[in-house]
Amino acid sequence: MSQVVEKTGSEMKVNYGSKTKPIWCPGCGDFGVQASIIKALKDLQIEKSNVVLVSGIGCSSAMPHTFSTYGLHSLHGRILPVATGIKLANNSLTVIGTGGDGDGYGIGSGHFVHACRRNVDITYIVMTNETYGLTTGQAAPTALVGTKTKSTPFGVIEQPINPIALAISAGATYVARGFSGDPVHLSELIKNGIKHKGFALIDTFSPCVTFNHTNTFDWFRRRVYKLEEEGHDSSDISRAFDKSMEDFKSNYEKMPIGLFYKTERPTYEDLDISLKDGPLLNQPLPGKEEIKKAIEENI
Amino acid sequence: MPLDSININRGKIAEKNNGERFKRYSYSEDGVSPRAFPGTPGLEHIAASDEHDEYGDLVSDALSGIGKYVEVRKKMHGKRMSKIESMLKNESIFVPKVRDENSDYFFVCFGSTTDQVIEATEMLKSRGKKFGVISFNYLMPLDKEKTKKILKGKKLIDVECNFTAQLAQVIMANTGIEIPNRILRYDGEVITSAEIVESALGMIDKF
Ligand SMILES: Cc1ncc(C[n+]2csc(CCOP(=O)(O)OP(=O)(O)O)c2C)c(N)n1
Ligand code: SF4
Ligand SMILES: [Mg+2]
Repeated sequence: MSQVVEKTGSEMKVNYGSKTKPIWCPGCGDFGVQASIIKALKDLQIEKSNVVLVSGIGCSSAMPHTFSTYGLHSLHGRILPVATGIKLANNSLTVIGTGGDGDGYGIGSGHFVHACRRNVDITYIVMTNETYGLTTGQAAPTALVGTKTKSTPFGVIEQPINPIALAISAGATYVARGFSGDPVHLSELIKNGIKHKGFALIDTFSPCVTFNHTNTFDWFRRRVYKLEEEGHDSSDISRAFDKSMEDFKSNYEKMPIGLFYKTERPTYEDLDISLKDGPLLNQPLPGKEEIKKAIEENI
Repeated sequence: MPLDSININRGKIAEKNNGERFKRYSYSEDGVSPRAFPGTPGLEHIAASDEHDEYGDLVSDALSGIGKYVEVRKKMHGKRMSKIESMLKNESIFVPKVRDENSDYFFVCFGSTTDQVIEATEMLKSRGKKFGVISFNYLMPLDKEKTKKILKGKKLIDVECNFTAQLAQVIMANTGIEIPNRILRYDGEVITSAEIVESALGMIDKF
């Protein structure tokens, strides 16, 4: 991320929220996620004009409208290509993706895998509610086998996506999972994700209270526990993988939240030679003579 | 295209805040509103894909069916579409290109077929037949009236690499001009100038 001066308290009073009324149903998990992002930004005191929230399509993708920062509400499944583009055009910005599990792990799953391996310095918050909330309750790719929904009247017959294992294997350098029901914990994960230099995934249980009566706040509360309380070593990739399989191995009875994995490696921006002279946006356009020369030399 | 003819125009860019909340999608004569680059203090806004008002605030989903927002949607959609009118008014590129204006016959084509078509006209010239080329670079938007003027009254042969003569259909839909003489190849191979020459020679008696 860009220059972050962490200040305690509210030395710099920036109001990151907007006056726009959220579209969410009362009680939706996305409220807790919104509060957590605002708290993380407040703690980090990032200039409002340097923050860009990028979303796709879904209830959760309405997130940027509740902020007074820059925002881009893009297309279904396209958060990461758009966020990558913004970051590469101006890598001094703090770019945060916010969207749903259908958006990110369904239609956007190809982009997800490649964003992980590219390690662009963006923070990606996925609101996992095991459903397509906006389109009124079809099964998301995270829905557990057997879940009956409008689109799966006889129950889901496909295995759910495991975003944590997928992100680690694809090369993400910060992989965490939070719970909207614990916004203080979640905002720490988000804050550290923003501070982390590289691609940070924060998968977040964010229950849909209207269309998912299985994976409710209480359902999660009974299952989640914090990795840090168990002394999990997030620098150990094997242990991280092991923990990422715990949902499956425990038949979804024990579901760890917290930081699974964190490592350091050069970001895409560090390695892309076109950014060596600073953000692209601030670089002057080459003159016609320079372009001609470049074409002659290289083609 | 020669490099010197390319001009980079970044369009209308807002740089300063006028003390009020920035309207990214302000209504304007030509349909284009000034944009602001993220990072510019005071011009924070949401760039929205769902239908929105002048600020970028949504007027969809929860606001469906409410009269006030229905009006905004209509106006915003109209604003967007008016960009096409502005493009047609301000640019002269949305018409097909004509090669060898004073020919007896004209091939009509688009895309990569054009090279073989041009080669075919040269081969036909050596056989004493004067063929020109009308090639399309843009189909949408298309200046319908000017395109109609260009095509009208000419002896046309459509050359395309697809089964249904897609270009001829677009021309028909936009100008009302039908081109019944067609050279179509649809076996997945590149059409050759030699076969265009052969087919064309067999067609010119029909005019
Ligand atoms: C390309 C495309 N395909 C499908 C849709 C329809 N659609 C809108 S939202 C959505 C899924 C929303 O689910 P999710 O991303 O999990 O967000 P949630 O509403 O659950 O927060 C779908 C399939 C669309 N808008 N665009
Ligand atoms: S439908 Fe579900 S996900 Fe959408 S706003 Fe309502 S509770 Fe939230
Ligand atoms: Mg969802």
